[in-house]
Amino acid sequence: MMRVAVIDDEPLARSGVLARLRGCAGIEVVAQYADGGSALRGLGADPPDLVFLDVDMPVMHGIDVLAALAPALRPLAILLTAHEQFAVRAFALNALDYLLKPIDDERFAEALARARNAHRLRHGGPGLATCAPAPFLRTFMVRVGSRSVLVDAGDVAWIEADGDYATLHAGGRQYLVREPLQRLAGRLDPASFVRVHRSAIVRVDQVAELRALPNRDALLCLRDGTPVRASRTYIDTLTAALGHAREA
Amino acid sequence: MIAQLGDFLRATLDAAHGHEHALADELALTQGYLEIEKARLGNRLAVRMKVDPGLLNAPVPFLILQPLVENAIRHGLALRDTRGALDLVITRESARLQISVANDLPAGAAELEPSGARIGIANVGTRLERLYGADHAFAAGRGADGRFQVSIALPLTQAAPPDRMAA
Repeated sequence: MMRVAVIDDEPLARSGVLARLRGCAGIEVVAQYADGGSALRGLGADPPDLVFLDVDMPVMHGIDVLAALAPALRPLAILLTAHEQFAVRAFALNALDYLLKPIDDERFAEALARARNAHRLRHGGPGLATCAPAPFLRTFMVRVGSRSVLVDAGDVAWIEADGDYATLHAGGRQYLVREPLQRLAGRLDPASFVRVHRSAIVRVDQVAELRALPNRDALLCLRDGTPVRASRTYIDTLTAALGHAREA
Repeated sequence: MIAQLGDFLRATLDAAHGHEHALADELALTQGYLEIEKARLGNRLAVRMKVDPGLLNAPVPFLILQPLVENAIRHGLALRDTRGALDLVITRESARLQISVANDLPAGAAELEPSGARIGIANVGTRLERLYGADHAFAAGRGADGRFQVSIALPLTQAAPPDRMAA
């Protein structure tokens, strides 16, 4: 069980986080605070395991709340913000992640998963669940007209989210797969395929160019000339995979 | 959807507002906008983008593509009841950066486009004139294939440094 507190001066923002947490197993919301001062007193008296913490609060900023707590009492923290400039200081205080408002459901789930792992590690338990992994996808079953066709994963250059489905781009053609991108991401060999954006997965050996953008996202150009955005959340995984690909 | 809209607004507001920025920045911004339109139009909107190698650092006018893409959707693709394609192709032709935006039109589209479409296109033309004077080319209209197409040629001022990844 992970004990969670939610700190935001806006009631609507708090209820947004609470609503998202309601469906999550193993989470107990133990407190809410509407300002930095009362949060500091409350967190000091009864430290939760995890806080969702708004950065832009009047009088006492979210980051000042974290900084004012003794390091041993500092809970795991996921920051909520509409801006991104604070990041360096936040990470010096061991914030786990930050969520840009308005909150994206998928990013929320990722941040919470990160917190669960960190929580397990803090309490000496095993890190990631250790169940036998399913084999990676080698072919995709797609429908072309009335026929079913197999597309080899090795022929796929990139995969694009298409609502609840995904579009494979292979050999200049496009195929619709009736599975959401998020689920595909977990079933592909991470040595070959990397998620680069909430709407795209690319085959690592198809990346021809990478250019950083001012907001720390990046733009990729694939071998076939297709530009694909990569968001900062996924950049580290991508550059690591590109590094491995070049060594191999 | 709301998160996508947030990303797009942040990108347009946060950018250092010079006249020009890198093609990579412009493409990222355009894709952010297209993601919103895709949420709206779903399967009716097919987007194809191609960029020649080594152009991501090339300077282009800030928000030059977005009005063209918006125009292609509002006055072309959104009026169709079947799937239509938007093609954005960026090539290098000697010392020119060539931009082409083409889109399918609704069946039986009238010869004269609505005046709103004309204003958006004319604004882009005026801006290019101010920025580059005689050193650019700009054309818009229906091609022989019946699609609407906008073509722009800009001076490729900066020899793009080789930032290709070694494979």
